[in-house]
Amino acid sequence: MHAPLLEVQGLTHRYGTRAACNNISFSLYSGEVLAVVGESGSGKTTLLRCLSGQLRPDAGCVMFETRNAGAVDVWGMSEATRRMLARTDWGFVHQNPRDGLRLDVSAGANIGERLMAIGARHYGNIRGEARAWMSKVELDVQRMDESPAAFSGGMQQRVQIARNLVSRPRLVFMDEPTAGLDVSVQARLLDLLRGLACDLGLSAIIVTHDLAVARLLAHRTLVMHDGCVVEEGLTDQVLDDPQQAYTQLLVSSALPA
Amino acid sequence: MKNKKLIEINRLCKHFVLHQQDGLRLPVLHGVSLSAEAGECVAVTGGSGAGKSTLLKCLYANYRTQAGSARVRHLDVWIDMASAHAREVLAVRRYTIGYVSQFLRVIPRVAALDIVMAPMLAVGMEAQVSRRRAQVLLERLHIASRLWTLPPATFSGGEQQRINIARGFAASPPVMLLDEPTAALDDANRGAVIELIREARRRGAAVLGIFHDEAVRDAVATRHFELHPVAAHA
Ligand SMILES: Nc1ncnc2c1ncn2[C@@H]1O[C@H](COP(=O)(O)OP(=O)(O)OP(=O)(O)O)[C@@H](O)[C@H]1O
Ligand SMILES: [Mg+2]
Repeated sequence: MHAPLLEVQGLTHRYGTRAACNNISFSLYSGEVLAVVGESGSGKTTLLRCLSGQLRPDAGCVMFETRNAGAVDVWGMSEATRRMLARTDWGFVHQNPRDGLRLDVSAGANIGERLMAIGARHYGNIRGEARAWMSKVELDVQRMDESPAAFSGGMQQRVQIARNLVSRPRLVFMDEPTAGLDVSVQARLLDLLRGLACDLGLSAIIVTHDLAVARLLAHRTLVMHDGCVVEEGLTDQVLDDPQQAYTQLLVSSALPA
Repeated sequence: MKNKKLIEINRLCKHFVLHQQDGLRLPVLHGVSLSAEAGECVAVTGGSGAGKSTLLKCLYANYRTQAGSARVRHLDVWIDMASAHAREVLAVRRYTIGYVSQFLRVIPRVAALDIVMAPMLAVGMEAQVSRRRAQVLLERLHIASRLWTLPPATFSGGEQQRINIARGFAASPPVMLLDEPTAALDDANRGAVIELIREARRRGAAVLGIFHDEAVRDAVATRHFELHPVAAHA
């Protein structure tokens, strides 16, 4: 059995005296999609930021299995190494695409940027890859040279996903990737993500308050409440036979997932 | 092939605790033991609420259990679904168990044919071969070919159930769990499902099924296993 891609132990982060993440431990294996569900304020985004090198936790460790150097402590390395890892091995899809895109350059350039960051120099190749990803995320390649500022929210989210996946990251973090979109746009985006996750064998951690998103995309699910993981397991198990009082409340309050 | 045990459930216990009902404890399975060999079809019987669906769901690890074991022979290794790790459970589901639930859980925007092909592609069957077998199954289950490229969300209950059946049988898994597979079907389709189950037995599958329709049960089952409701104090 392979070592986990990500191993989290005792992760804690406080804002003042309140623990937004309280002693969280779990592992993620290669090819696994993990959903983190819970109501707003339960600590999901804080957890994601601590895992992805954006927010230093107060305690605990996050071990990431690198391509060549085995498991490394994400918060034990230099800032420069961490930034390098974020560019080469991770992707981060923000809830608001405007936080993850550069609106002053074209959609194509947004997608190509990460390839350049990992050393691609041949303009034609970069453009070709960007074009291929435009169509993979079902965007009109004709609009590759337009700024995403003029795109709809759903289209911007597609650009953001393409921008993150083009460099084949080994782990993708997504924070509510479908929130704030119209229901029909959401459905298309979910379908796209489901297809990409299958085809690419993606390893991903998806934060969502929408249990249907977890059902559709995630192999396993963690349930967070008040900064703690209260339950975890196979997604269908957690949703169909929830054990904890909080999970039962969450599942019974949701529309059928 | 003969006498090869594929399912072994031992003293399995399952109860639900309903936290929103003041922690009401609902016992469903109490010390259930049952095994099935290759070529057998065991019909699980018992009144409504006796726990028939629950038993199948525990073996599929869709439900958790409190005690006992629910083992399945997976690539010649016994795996206890009640205690296996998530990744192990997923592997057993992919390669070893075909589960036909009572209702199809549709995936938005995925066509019927692709739904049926998915389990075959997942075990590495070639796309061409998978497509051909999916088509044959859909034909046998009388799904009009104009529906094949449509997502089943708008299909009738019976049509959805037949997509579900085709998907469950597609990859010819050695263990089959069937929860009222013929409930919403007409005579012709009931006949088609009976034939599929018999074929599965002939190729050496162990089938655990819930069949309310007595004629279907008599046509496919090699024996019965009756579940009795658990007394509330159990
Ligand atoms: N997820 C669940 N949460 C709580 N209780 C449940 C759950 N699933 C089943 N039960 C309860 O377990 C008992 C057995 O249900 P089950 O569906 O297994 O019965 P069954 O024998 O299949 O009945 P039927 O013939 O009506 O389908 C019932 O009392 C049911 O309410
Ligand atoms: Mg039932």
